[in-house]
Amino acid sequence: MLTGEYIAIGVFALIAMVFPVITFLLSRLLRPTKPEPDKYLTYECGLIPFGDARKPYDVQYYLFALLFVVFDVEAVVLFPWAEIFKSFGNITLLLIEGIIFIVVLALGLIYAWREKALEWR
Amino acid sequence: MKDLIMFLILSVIAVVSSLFVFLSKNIFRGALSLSLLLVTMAMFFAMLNAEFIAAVQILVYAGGVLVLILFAIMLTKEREPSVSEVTTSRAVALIAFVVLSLFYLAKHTWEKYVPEKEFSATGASVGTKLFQTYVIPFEAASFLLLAAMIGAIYLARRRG
Repeated sequence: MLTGEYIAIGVFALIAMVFPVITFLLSRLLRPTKPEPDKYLTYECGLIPFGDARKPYDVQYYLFALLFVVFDVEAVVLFPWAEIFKSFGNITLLLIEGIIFIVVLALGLIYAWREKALEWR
Repeated sequence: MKDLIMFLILSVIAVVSSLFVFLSKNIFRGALSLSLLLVTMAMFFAMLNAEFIAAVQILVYAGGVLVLILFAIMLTKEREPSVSEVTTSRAVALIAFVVLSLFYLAKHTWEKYVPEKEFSATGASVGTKLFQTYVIPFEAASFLLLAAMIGAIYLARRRG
C-alpha cells in the first residue's frame, strides 16, 4: 500500500536520477567538442594515473567497515527500543534488556580499542 | 491498481538488477547493482506496510553490508578465472537454483506469502516482539555481533 509520503520520495528520487542526465545532455549541446587525449585523463592537472584501480586495499578499511556494520545494527535495534519505551509495561526490565545488549557490544568496542584497531597505521 | 503497477515496476527493476549482479563481468559493478536490488527490496517492504523493515533494509543492507562487500572486493586481487573454474561455479549455481526452487515449491504455496490485511511491521510492533517474545534470541544476537567483531579484529590485526 502506498501513501502520499512515499510518492514524495519517489518524485525526489526520479528528479535526482533525471537531473544529471539533463545536465550532461545540455552541456553536450552547448559546448564545443574538440577531443584530445589529455582531456581523457582521470586528473586533468594532476598525477598521471598508473596501474589498475583494482589493487588490493589495506585490510584496515575492511575493519572499519565491519565495526560500522556492527554498530549500525545496534543503532537500528535501539530505535524500536526507544519507540516502545513509554508504552511498555515493565520499564525496568526493558531498560535492563537494552543495557545488556549495549554492554555486550561495548565489550567489542573495548577490545577494538585495546587492540588499537581504531588507530590508523 | 496503483499498487499493482508499482509492484510490476519494482519487480522489473529487482529482476534486472539481480540478473546484472551475476552477469556483470566487473564484480564491483555487480556489487553496485546489488545495492539497487536492496533499495528495491526496501520499497517492497514499504509497500507491505513494513516501514521499519524498509528502513532497516536501507540503513543496514544498502548502507552497511554493501560497504562491507565493496571493501571485501577491494581487499582481494583480481584474477582471471580458468575455464574449468567458470564451468564448475556455473554448474554449482544451476544445481543450487534447481534444488532450492524445488524445495521452495514443494514446501510453500504462493498464497501463504500474501500478508494479511492487518499486517504491519512498524518500529513499535517490532520492538514489542523483540523485547518481549524474542528477548533471548535478541540478546544472543548481541553475542553473535560481538563474536563477528572480535573475530575480524583478531584476524586483521598486525602481528609482531
